[in-house]
Amino acid sequence: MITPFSKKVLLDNIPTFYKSSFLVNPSVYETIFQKLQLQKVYKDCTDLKVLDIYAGPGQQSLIFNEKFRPKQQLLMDNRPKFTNFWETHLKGSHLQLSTQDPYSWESYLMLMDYQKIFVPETQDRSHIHNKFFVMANVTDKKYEGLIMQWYNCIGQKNWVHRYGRVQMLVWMPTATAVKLLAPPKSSARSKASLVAETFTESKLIAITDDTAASKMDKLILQQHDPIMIKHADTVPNKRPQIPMSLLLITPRNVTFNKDNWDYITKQLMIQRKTPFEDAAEALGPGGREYFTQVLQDKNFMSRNAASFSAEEFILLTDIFTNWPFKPDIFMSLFDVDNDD
Amino acid sequence: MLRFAGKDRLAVAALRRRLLARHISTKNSVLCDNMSTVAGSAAPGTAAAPSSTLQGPDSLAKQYLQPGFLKDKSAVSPVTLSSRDFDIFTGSQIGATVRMANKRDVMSLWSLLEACLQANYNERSLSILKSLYNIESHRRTFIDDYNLYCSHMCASMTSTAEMSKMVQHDLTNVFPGVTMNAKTVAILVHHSIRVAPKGADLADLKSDISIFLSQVPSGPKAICANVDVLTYDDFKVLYRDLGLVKLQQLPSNIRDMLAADEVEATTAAAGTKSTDSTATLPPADSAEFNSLMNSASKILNPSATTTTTITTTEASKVELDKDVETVEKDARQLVNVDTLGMKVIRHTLLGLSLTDEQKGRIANFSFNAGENIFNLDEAKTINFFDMYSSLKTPEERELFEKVLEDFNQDRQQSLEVRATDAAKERWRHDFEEAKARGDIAIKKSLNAKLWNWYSDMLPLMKKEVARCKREVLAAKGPSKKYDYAPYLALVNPEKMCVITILELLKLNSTGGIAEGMRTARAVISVGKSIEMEFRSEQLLKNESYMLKDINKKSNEFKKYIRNAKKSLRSLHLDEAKVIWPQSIRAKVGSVLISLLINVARVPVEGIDPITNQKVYGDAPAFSHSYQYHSGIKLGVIRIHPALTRQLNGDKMIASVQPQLLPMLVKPRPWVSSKSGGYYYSQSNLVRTKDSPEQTAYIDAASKSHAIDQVYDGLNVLGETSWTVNRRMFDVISQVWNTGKPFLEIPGIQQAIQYLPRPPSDADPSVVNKWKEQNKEIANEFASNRSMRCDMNYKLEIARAFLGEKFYFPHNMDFRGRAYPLSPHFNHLGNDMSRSLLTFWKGKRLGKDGLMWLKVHLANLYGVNKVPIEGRVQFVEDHMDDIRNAVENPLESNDQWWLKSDKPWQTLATCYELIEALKLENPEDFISHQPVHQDGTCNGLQHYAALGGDMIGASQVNLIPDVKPNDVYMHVANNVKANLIEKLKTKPDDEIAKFFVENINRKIVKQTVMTHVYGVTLVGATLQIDKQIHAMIGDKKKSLAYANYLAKEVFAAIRQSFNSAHLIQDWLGECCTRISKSIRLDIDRKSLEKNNKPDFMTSVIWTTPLGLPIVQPYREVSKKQVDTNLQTVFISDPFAVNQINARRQKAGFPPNFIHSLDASHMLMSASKCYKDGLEFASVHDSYWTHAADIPTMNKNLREQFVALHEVDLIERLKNEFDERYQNYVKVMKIPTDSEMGIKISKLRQEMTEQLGRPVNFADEIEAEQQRLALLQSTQEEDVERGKQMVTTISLAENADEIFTNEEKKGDSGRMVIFTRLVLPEIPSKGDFDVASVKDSTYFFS
Repeated sequence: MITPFSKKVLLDNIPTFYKSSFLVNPSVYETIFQKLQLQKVYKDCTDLKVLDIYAGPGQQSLIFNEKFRPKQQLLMDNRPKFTNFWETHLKGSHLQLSTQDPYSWESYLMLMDYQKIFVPETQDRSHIHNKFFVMANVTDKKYEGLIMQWYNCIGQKNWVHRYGRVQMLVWMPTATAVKLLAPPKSSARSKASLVAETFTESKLIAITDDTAASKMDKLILQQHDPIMIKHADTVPNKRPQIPMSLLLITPRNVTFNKDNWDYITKQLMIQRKTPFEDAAEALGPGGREYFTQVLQDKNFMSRNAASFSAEEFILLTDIFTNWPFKPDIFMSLFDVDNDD
Repeated sequence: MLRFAGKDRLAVAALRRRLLARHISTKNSVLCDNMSTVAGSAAPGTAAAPSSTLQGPDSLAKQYLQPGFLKDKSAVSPVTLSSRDFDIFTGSQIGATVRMANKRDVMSLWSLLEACLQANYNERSLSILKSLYNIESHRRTFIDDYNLYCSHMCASMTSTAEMSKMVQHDLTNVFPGVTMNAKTVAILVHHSIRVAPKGADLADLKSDISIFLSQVPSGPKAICANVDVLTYDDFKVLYRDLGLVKLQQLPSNIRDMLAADEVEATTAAAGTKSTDSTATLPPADSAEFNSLMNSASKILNPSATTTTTITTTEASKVELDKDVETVEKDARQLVNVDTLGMKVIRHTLLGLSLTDEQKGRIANFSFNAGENIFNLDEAKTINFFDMYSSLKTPEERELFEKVLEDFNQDRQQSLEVRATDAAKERWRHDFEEAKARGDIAIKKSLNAKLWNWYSDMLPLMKKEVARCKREVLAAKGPSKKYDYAPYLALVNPEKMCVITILELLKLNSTGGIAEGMRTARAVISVGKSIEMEFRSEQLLKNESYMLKDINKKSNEFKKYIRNAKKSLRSLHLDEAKVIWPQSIRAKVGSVLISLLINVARVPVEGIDPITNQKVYGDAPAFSHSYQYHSGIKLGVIRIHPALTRQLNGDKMIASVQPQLLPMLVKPRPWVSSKSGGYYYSQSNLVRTKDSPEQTAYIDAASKSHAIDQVYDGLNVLGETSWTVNRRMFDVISQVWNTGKPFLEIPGIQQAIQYLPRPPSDADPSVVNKWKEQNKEIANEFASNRSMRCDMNYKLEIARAFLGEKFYFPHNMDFRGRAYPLSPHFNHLGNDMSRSLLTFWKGKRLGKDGLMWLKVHLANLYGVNKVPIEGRVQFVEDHMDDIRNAVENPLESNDQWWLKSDKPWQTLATCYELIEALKLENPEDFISHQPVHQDGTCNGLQHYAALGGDMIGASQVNLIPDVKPNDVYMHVANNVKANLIEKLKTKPDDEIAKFFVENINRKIVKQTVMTHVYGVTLVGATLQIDKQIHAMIGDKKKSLAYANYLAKEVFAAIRQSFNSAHLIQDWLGECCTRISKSIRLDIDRKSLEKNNKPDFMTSVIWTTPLGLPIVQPYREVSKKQVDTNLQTVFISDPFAVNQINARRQKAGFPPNFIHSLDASHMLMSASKCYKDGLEFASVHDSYWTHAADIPTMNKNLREQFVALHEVDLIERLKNEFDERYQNYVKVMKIPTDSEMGIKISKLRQEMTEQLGRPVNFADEIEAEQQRLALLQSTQEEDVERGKQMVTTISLAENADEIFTNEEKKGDSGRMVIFTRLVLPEIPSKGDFDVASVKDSTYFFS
């Protein structure tokens, strides 16, 4: 058995953490795992397969593996300082390692479809997948887009989500978490928060105790009651420290036209503060007249997109889907490059 | 040693004052320049400011105004120019901002004044005048603004007393200190004459006017020069009736007219008919010529033609959903792309149509009565070129050309002026026709739809205009919200509606938006169109103003009128200085667009998803929304797909400017930076975008006649007359009309075919790929479509100009490179365009010409790397192919000419050659074909001459040789040799192995060619990747290989062009240092803020022809304008920001070389013109008649030698040294270096003396002090100066002392000032440029 690494070992052996941050304190991990109550879904974990994306130094992987003893746990990372560290420190553990690029979609196809190194079972969407779990640390803020794409994959039911409603435990910059968890009317409300709210139940499990955490909506802090983490329990030691949050993302079972929903949220959230009666025109020529006529609700028409709930967007999607004169929503996808 | 420690600060200040008060006479006279004062003294420009003893950087504006070294020095008049006009650009950002804000204010007040006067808002106008008056820097020219107002007010007055009272009151009480000028008097005179009771005693009038005339010291001549105020009748009254002015005080045009008028009156009185007035004709040698000329001009310009402009009603109907008629031509009609742009072009080209009356006149053209010399076939359209070619003698041809030039004056006007009224009429017509046919017809007809929009928009428009009027009249002061209001009253509402509709349709599919446009562009475009419409109305109004009272006169008299009109036109174009502020354009545009969005609807149909039934409805035609475009939130106006389908959704190329076509008459010669080119629209000498600095330099140079040689060269290019190659047109139009792809012509495309969408749960990688592929499909479709459109425009224009004689007016980019002003169809275009053009004038081939025609053919084919004889041989070997090409050009797909490098031009030359060979003596053939001589990698030629590289010079053919050298081959061989060498030590280098086997000249060609123009490693990698991609296949691998080779190519070029390379590096280093420097006389305020200097110094140099080149690269700033559609960000033409050091540096070496190749071309053009040659150029490709190639070749070699005989690099260094001599450079040095320690110590001492931390401003001031002492004429001062030490004197030569490594980084470094010293110029190689004169293959 390999014991968890001390902070010193990590700092001495890993010269750079690639603008990412990692929790190291085993006892905090213990609190987190208690809070997660994973056994409720995965029972004794004997059938559980865990994909551990951007596993970094592997501290979390190691502690998780020790605690839950899953059937298979595959670490993915292609950053040399981490993979070198694994070479010397994690060989002989239960952990499997892959140095394929986690950023590339092809890597997953390779692992799952071609090499068949990691093959999860496909499960019905009526329940949360009970044999497949994903963990990731995407705390480098340049990968915010990747997190958004993962969320999108939940809606599209592709990538790892083609196997069913797969739960994900993701470390991310607190700024990203703030965007994802922003409730209606809050200033951070964006298309990302709508995606998170509509397609998942995203729960804030832990958050580093810093000024960034104060940007998190008060209501969310109250409801989710996250574990507050001290930066002293993380690596690297460098300043400025990276404010990070841990989210447990549980996909919902949704059935509506995702393309239309995407289009509507995108068009309306560009002008999030514009009253719907003006913004509706952005949904297509004649949009204002159509929605005014169908909704027959002056009050609603005068509200703006930032105040709409996820349900209200779904309602708008349904109305849009029934519009005989709706525009071809793929039109703007292929606007030409040459910018005269 | 005199240090601050030695005297207290007060004493130093006192010394300084003393020095300044004495107005130190310095060793350098330039130092007495009235530049702004050194830091701490009075504000620049105030009368009390003492003159600095330091040399102002652009007192050195004089530098470029010094006589060009190629010129006769005495020919250049010295310029008095305040350096204040220039230091605005080199001072500090704050200073520039304040000064430009003043300029911006003046400009926006001007345009507002103009608008308010036009709209009769008199009170408001007066209050605007007050604002203008309050801008102190503007006071000097304020009277011009008052004159506008005065003229407007006088127009509604009924007595002279009233007018004088107003002027007296205004200039005494409202605008004290302002005095009348000649124009004010002219206005008073004009209106006095206007209101004088007709037929009454003239004594009162005479006495009033006498008083007026005595008001200005400049006298009657200056007053009479105001031909935009005084009419022809006024002059008659002043001269004839009142006798208040003398004949010689009148402008020459008027004088001529008065004289002619008198002669006419006398002859008419005598009962004789005016038949001759030789005085009006250009001097000619023989009486016979004169009589020919007279009778001919009578025929083409009989008295039936009035001088009023040709009515353009026939020519101005724009049909938007039908094909616009094409110009009547005896040639195949083209199958056209169905775009609005095409229709607009066709519509404009109708200006070339001839009226029946005109046709009749041409048909009867003869030199002798009763003889129809042209035997015109009435069934055919008139072809001036055929007529011209059939003439036998040079005299006849010369005469014909003169008459044609005259005849074409009116046609030129109808080509340049466009009418919107006609569009509206056509819509109404179509609407009514459609209405008669029933509802469906209305739905289908686009014009009917447009008419509907128009009729719905018009009442709203009128309401808006009325509301604006109320707002203006009610407003106490300027209102921000309605600041656009006065402008809405300038153009009538009907026209504004039409313009808005046309502009929006024209902008469809621009700015990367497939079905719509960017809002910012749309609002500006519409606003600008309204402004242009207003301007052109003004221009037409003015044109007939002076001559309004003249009617029915003889031909000869009309000639004078035409001349007068011509000069008036120039006058007005030159005076057009007012432009509307961008924010006004944006606001006017957005108001109009909003109105249109509100009313414009299109019928739509769709399927109800619930019932699956077809449903019909209508939807707004335009909608405003936002979208992300490359990650940026962008406001867009979308056009409903139902409408774009009807517009055929074609991608419009740039913005079609129909008025910019080739000209039917000689372009207006360039005489100033804003005067030249077209007759009815203003063109700028330099294509520049929002660079007030450039404009200021060019204007100053122009005023001082420093760039007359540049004008001269450009005018030569404009004087070359062209016609369309009929045979080529016939072949190309045949291919075109098949609609199939041929050579570079893309075929007609149907609707775009996207790949089907993958299932929604497809892997993200699959979805991404699908998006990528579809984007590629969309791009390719768009690019083919735009290419076909572009070629169509070219062909359509060519067709309309068949048989015409035409010209290309030219202007230039900021480096001095010349370009034709008319886009689309010109000789700079693609192979097809060029093949369609031939010289109007023909020249007998002769022996040389025949040979050069063959060489030209070989060159076009791509056989240009063999000796001249070999090229001739090549052609002779292919005579059968050539004959076959001419006889059956489209017979099969493997025709010989199709495989040529430039197939269309090859075919054109084949025609010419075969025609010549048909003659018994081919040398007798009259050839019109332009024959080209191209430089071998012209950029490298200039570099080799600058650096004196022997090997390089020989590789680019500067040294005589028996065969042409191929620099690309040479570099490829060098690379190969280097790689073979490399493999000896690293035998496993796979990439090296690959290239040793595969390298060829084609792979390296583009990189070698662009290397001199500063291609980066990334750019070169992509160029090479393009060449080897197919060989390697894999994208990543190919790029890696390309990157490897790019480095090798760079190294190989360096081997052969080492000195040239050192020069390139030197240019770069100079630029880096200049970019980091500031003026030593910078004002204290701008340095104290943040203790951080603004880098404002751009690189400026003067070309050998005297053209000042100012690199325009500065940081961009955009201004936010709230419009009622959205907030738009638009660039501010008055902004002067810090320079962009990266672009300054990257741009300098290539720009410098371009400024040289441009000079070489213009010098060659002027010389060729003097020798009687026709000349055209495409940058480094020079064109003339085959027979004249030997002369042109001689000239261009001599001019190259003349250019490079002077050490241009040394000259540049001298110029820089002078221009930037009182600049300091900001740099970093190691804190712990010896110099660093000394400077720190001195700073510490200064801090102690000051009792506060020393700052940069203190350091600069101390240095200013030291220099002032050194430059004193008092020995004691100089001695003290020598003793004084400053942080800057301690940093002498810091740039040379420290290595690049030591100057980089932050930690352990300190920021210092050091005197700006440019590096020494690298040594030159042994090559002697004179040998170019004998090099056959220099240009060949």
